[in-house]
Amino acid sequence: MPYENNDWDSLRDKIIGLGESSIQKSYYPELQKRLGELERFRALLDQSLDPIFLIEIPSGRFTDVTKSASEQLGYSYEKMLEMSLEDLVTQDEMMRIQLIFNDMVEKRESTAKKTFLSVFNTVDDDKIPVEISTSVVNFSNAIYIVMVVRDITERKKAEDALKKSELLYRTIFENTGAATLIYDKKGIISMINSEMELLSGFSQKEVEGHMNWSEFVHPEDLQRMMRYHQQRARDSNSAPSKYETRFINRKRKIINAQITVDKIPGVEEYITSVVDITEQKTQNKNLKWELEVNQALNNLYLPLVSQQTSLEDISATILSESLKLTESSIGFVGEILPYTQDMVLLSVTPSTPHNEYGKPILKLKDNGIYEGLMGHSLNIKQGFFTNNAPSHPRYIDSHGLKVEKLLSVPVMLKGELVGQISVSNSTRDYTEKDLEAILRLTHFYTMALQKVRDEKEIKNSLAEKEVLLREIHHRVKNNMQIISSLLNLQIQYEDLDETVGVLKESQGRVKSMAIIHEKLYQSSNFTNINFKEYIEKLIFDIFYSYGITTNTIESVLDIEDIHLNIDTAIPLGLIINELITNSVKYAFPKSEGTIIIKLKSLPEQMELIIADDGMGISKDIDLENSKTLGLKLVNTLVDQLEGKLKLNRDNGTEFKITFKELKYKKRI
Amino acid sequence: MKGEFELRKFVAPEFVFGSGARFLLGRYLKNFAAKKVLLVTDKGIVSSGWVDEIIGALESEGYEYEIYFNVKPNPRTEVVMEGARVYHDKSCDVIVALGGGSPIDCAKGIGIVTSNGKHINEFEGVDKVIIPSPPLICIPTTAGSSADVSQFAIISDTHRKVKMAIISKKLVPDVALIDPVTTTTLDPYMTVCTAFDILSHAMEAYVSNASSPITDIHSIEAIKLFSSNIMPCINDLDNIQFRGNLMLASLHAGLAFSNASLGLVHAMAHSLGGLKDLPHGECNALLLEHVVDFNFSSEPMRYLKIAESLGLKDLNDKYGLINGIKHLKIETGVDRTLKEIGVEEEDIPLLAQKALNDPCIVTNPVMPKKSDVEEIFKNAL
Repeated sequence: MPYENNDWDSLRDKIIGLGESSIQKSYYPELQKRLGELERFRALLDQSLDPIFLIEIPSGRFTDVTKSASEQLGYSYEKMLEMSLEDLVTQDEMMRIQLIFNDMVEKRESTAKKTFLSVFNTVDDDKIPVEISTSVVNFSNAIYIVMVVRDITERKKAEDALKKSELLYRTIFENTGAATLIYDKKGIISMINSEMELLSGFSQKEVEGHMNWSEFVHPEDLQRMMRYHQQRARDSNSAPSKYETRFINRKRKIINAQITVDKIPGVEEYITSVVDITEQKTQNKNLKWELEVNQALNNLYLPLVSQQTSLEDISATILSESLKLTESSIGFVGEILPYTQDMVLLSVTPSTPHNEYGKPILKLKDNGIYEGLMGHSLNIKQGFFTNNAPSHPRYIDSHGLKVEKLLSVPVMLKGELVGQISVSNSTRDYTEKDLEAILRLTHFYTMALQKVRDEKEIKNSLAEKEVLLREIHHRVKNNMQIISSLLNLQIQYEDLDETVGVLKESQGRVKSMAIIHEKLYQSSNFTNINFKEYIEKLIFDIFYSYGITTNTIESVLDIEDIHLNIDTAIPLGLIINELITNSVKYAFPKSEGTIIIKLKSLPEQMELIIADDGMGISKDIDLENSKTLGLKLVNTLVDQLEGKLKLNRDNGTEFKITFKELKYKKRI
Repeated sequence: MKGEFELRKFVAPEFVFGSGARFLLGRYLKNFAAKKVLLVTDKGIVSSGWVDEIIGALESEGYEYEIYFNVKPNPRTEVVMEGARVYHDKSCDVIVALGGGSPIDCAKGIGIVTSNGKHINEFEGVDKVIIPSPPLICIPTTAGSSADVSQFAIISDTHRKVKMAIISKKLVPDVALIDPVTTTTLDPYMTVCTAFDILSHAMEAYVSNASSPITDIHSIEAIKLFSSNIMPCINDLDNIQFRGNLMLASLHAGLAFSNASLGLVHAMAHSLGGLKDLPHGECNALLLEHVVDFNFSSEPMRYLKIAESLGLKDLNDKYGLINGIKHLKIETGVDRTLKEIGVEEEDIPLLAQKALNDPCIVTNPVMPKKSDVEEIFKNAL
C-alpha cells in the first residue's frame, strides 16, 4: 500500500480522532439550532397582538403565555406562569368556561376549535371583553388547551354602536307616521313598517322578501311608476320624488295616495313612503266647494243689502250663482204669490220674453197640489234632485224642454212657501252637496224677499202715518182757530179795554201756536217747520191784529233759513209773540219805529234777537221777577228751552235769547 | 486498595495532545456551532503573544469574540461574576480559556454562573452545579494545574479569605487542546511552581483513598515524567521535548486527581492560599514533605512506590522520601518556609480549621484531627 497516500492518511486521521468532524458526540449544536428556531418562533408568537395561553389540564395553570398576555393584562411574565385561568375571570365565568373545557377534553377532538366570548380582569381590575378560541393539544402525553384571546373591546363598541344605530333606524322607520317600504332595484320589498301593514292589509311576513311594489299600484298608474323607477335607477335625480298615485290594498280598494320615493345612497335600494290622501282630497274638495258657495253668497250679499236692487235683480244673481255652483245650464227662480199661491218667474235661464215674468207659470190646483216635477219640491216642502228625471214618479213631459237631471229647492218663509229655485241638466250628476249649496242660497232669497216685503210694509205704514199726522196738525190748527174765533167773539161782546186787551193777548198766543200747526201740516215731514216763514206769518198776523200798517212800524227780519222741531218752535213762537206784541203795544207811543228780529244759527247754539228802537222798558222792571204775565211767560219759556235771556236797554229794547234746539220731549 | 472492586468512575474531556493542538480551536468552534467566543485569559498570556495568535485564528475563520483578561492568579469571586456579566452582555455562546489554572478556573466559574444564573458562591462544594456551562474549550499554557481536564475549580472568596473548592463532573471541560508549545514562554519560577503542582496532584491522587487501577497508572507515569524532566527543563527552558514531557506529566496528573481527588496537601494549600494569596504551586511545595511525614504510615507501600518513581531507590522509610523531596525543592529553588512567606504562628489555628473544611481532605489516606493539621503547619513554619 502506498505510504504517502493522502486518502489513507486522512482515513487514519479520522480513525485516531483528528478528522474535521471526529469529535465526540455533543447534542449541543443541534440543540442550539433547535433552540434558535424555538426562540425565533417564540419571538414570532410574542409579536402576536392576541395573547396566547398554554393551559395545563386539569390544573388550569398557565404553562406558557406570550408577551402580549402580560402586556395586556398587566402581570409580569413570571407572575403569569404562576397563575391560572381562574385568576383572570369571575367565579361564574370560570364555571362556565370549565364546562366548555371539560367538554372539549372529553371529546378529545383535538382538531376541533371552540370559540366563545368572555370577560378578562386585568391586574388593575379593568374588564376587557374578549373572544376566546381554544383547542386541545397533546404534548408528550400531556393534555393542554391552547387559548388564543382577542380583545374585542373595539369590536364590541362597534357592534353596540351598530346595534344602537340599527335600533334607532328601525325605530325611525317604524315611527315615520307614514306607511314606508324599502325595495331593491327589482322592486322586491325587503322591509315594511307597521303603518304599511295597516295600509296594505298584508303582514310583514307576507310582504318582506316576497312581494313586489308593483303589486300595490293601480294598473293604470303602473306604466308611469315603472318609468319613474327606471329613470331613478339610472340617475337618482332624474325622476320626480313626490307624486300622486293610486294604491291598491289587499281588499282591492283603491286609495288615493301621495308617495315620496328616494334612492338610498350606497346601495341599490329605494325607500318609499305612502300617505293616504283620500281624506285630504275629500277635505280639499269640500273646502273648494265651501269656497265656491261662499263666493256665491258673497256675490249675493251686496245686491241684497243695497237699496237699489230689486227682487228681480237679486233673483237673477241667485239664479246665475246656482247654475254656476251646480254646473247647470237651465234654471229659474220663482216667487209664490201670497194670495193666489201661484208661482211666477222672477228670473229664468235661458231667458224668456219679458211678458212671461208676470204670468203665473205654475198654478196651485184645487187639490192643493202643484203639478209635475216643477211643483214636486213645493208639494213636499223639501229640496230634492234626480239624475234621471224621466224615471221620477212626478215627471210629466211639459214645456217641450228635455229635462234629464233636475234639482229643485222650495223657499220657505215662516213656514209658508214663498218661492222656488230650480236648476237642471247639469254636465254631471247632482249630489247632496249641490242640494246643500242651493239651500244656502235660498236663505238669501228669503232674506231678499223678506226685505222687499218689509220695505213695502214700511212704506205703507209711513204713508199711513203721514196722512194721520197731517190730519192731526190740521185738526189742531182748526181747533185753535175755533178757540181764536171764540175769543174774537168774546172781544166783540166786551167793552172794557183792559178786558179786550187781555183777550186779545190770549188770542194772540193761541194764534201763534195755531200758525205752527198750520205750517206743520203744510210741511213735507210734519216734524220741522221753516221758522223763517213762520216768523213772517206771525209778524204779519200780529201787525194785522193790532192794526199796524207798514208805514208806521217797520219790521226788519234777519232770519236764517232754519228749520225747527215742534218742541222748540212752540215755546220760541210764544216768546216771539210775547215780545213783539209788547213792542207793538208799548214801545212806540208815536206809533213809529222799527222792530228788528234776528235769528241766527251759531256753532254751538242759536241766537234770537228781538229789538226795537222804542221807548225802552222802564228801569223798575226786573226781568227775572217780572210782575207782568208776559215777561214771566217769556222767562218760563226761555227756561223751558234751556236757554238764556239777556236784556239790553242801551238803545231801546233788545232781547237776546240764546238757546239750543230741544232734542227730546220735555213734558210740561 | 481493598479486596473487592469498589466502584470507580473515570471522566475525561475530549483532549488533543501535541504540538499545534491549539490550532484545532477553529474546528471545535465549528462543531459547537459557536457564534461568539468569550476568550478568558490573563495579562501575562496577552503579553506573551499567544492571545494574538488565537485572535488571529478566530478572525480568519470569522468568529466573533470578546476578550476577558481581568484574571489574576487565584481568581476571585468578583472576577468570575464580572466575567459572567461580560459573557451575558456580549451574548457569547462558547468560552475559550487560554492560560494556566487561574484563567481556566475562572472560565469554569463564568460558565456555570451564566448557565445557572446564580452567584458563584452557591456552587461551593461537591455536585452543586445543576445546569452545565456552555461549551468550554481549554488551551492550557502551563504544566500545570491540569485544570483543563479536571472536575475542580478553585475560586477565592476574599471576604471569607478562603479558597472555595467547586467540585463537579459537570465542570470537566468539553475540550482540552494541550499544546506543549504554549509552555515555552513560561518563566523558571512559574515552571517550577506549576511542576510541583503536578507532583502533588500525582502523589495525592496515588495515595488517595479513592484511587483506582486506572488513576494509579496515570499517577505513577506523571511522577516518573516529572522526576526525569523537571531539572532538565529548568536548565533548558526552550527544549520542546522537556516541556512536552512535563505537559504530558501534567495531563497524567490531571486525569489522575480529577478522578481520584486529592488530600491534605491541597486542603492545607487552599487554606494557605486563601489567607496569603500565594501561587498554588508553591503552597503545595511548601507543605508537601510535612504531609508525607504525617500520611506515610497510612500508606507506606504507596509512598515507597512514589519514592521509587521519583528515582529514590532502596528506601524503606519515609525519611528518604521526605529528604528527597526537600532536596528537590532546594535544587529547584522553592524551599522557603511558611514564616518566610509571612505566616505567623497565630494564623495556624484558623488555617488548620479552614483546611479541615476543604473537600480535598475527604480522600486523604487518613482523616487528621485539627491538632494534627496544626502540627503540620507548625513543622512547615
